[in-house]
Amino acid sequence: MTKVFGYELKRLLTSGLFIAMLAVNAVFAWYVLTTEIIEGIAYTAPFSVWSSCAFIGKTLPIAIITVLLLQAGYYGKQQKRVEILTSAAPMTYAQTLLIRTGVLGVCFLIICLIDSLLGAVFFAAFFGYYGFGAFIFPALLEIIPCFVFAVGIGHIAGRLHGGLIYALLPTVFIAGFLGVTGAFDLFGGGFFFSYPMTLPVGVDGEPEFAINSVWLIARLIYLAAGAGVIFVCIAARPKIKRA
Amino acid sequence: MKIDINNITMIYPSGKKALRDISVSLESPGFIGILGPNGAGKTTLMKLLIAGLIPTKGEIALDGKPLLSQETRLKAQLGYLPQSFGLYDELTVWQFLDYMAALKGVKDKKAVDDVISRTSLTEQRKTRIRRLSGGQRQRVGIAQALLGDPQLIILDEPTVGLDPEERVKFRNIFSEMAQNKIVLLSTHIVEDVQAVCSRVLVIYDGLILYDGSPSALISDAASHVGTYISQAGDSVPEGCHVVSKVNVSEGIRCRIVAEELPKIAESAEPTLEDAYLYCIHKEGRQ
Repeated sequence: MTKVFGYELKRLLTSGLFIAMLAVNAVFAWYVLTTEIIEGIAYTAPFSVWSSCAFIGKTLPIAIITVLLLQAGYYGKQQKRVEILTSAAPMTYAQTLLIRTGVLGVCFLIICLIDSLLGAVFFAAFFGYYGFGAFIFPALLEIIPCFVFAVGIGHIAGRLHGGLIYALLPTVFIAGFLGVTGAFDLFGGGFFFSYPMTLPVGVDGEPEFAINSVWLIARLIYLAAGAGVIFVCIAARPKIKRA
Repeated sequence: MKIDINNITMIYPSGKKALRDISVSLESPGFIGILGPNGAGKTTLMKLLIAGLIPTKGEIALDGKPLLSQETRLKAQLGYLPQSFGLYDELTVWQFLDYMAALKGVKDKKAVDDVISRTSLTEQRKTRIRRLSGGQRQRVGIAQALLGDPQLIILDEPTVGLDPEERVKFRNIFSEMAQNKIVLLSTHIVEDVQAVCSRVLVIYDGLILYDGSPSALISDAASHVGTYISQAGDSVPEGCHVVSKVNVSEGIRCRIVAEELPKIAESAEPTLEDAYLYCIHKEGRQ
């Protein structure tokens, strides 16, 4: 399985789509940093945890769109033609789906790491700030449920019809960029822009970072829903064609 | 290994009846050729044998157990080359075969190099698949089917796109492999079947019309094959089916098969191709 995982990963990482989308992600991340985050989010410092979370929330939709585009390849025509050969091998459908999910996870992680690296460079170069450790846990809470949910929905859509994954892309765009601000904001791009302003200001002149319980419950729901959908996809192997 | 196909009927959702209550038994060692016109049911039979389809009626058994319950065991021993397939264009030949070996659970590190050598792909081993010609891609398909020394090899039109020399080479490779395995070869090239197969299945319109040795099929056609000279514009005598036409100095030499040869025809020694055509044309089937 390790070797198959390695080849699947290599195929995606060396694909023109991934490389192009990685560049798009990086350019967009830098744009968000230098136009929005530089001013600080909700009257907090640009290098506050609030600003960091807002930065991740802003860049996540593009990262998820990238993952969905890569995932669409698994349900595309070329893949189906290769599957005529691979489906005659003894590897189970569950193993195949887990490998693909893992490969998409690594691609997503690489995108997030590049964005984070740019953020680190930005905070260090513009503000001489190096305390990135405080950003990690909230960031993981933001990105993991979002990824699991999106990939789960992507697998279901792909199983129904390869083209349906493309139909998810505008939904991601709308949800990511057009005014979703509540705790159920999948990406957090809107939530972290508005929520700090509802909190009392602390001694340092900005609200202390605290994870909102409703937002946390929403993450758990997204995580559980995504994991559940992936489990259903694994358990319900596509039926052998029956006449 | 023994595969029993018992009273299989396959009707597609479109209503097309691809196979009609066929029964056949395949046992190793054996090199079985499947002949039949397009749409006869050859590919459907092969898909059923790799558990890619579930029959509408009937059952397939692998060593006495239902095939679908033995799917993993079947696939661990299966080498399959479909008629049409895709490859990962971004990988090199060696990488793709190494990937397929990993999928098949082939642990022998020399297996990939071995099939590359057998399929004459040594020069292309580091070439990306997107740069291969059609014939070279077909050879990669054959190579992946041979990986891991499978006990059941199913080949659907394996020599399509290969030049005549390669075709002969590959049919000899398949023939060698059939010494201790089941090799199932579906092809339109009757000559390939005649050269290497010990058994022939003739499928027509979902039915098995013939199951036996090539020589017995040829014997069946004796006295049903003839030649005669015709002129341009002459019609084919009733009940005759033309196998081939060759321009000669006296006119056109027509080779025909018929239940009863017309008086103008001279009897000829049947080939497997004649016998196959006689088999599917007799009794007014086509």
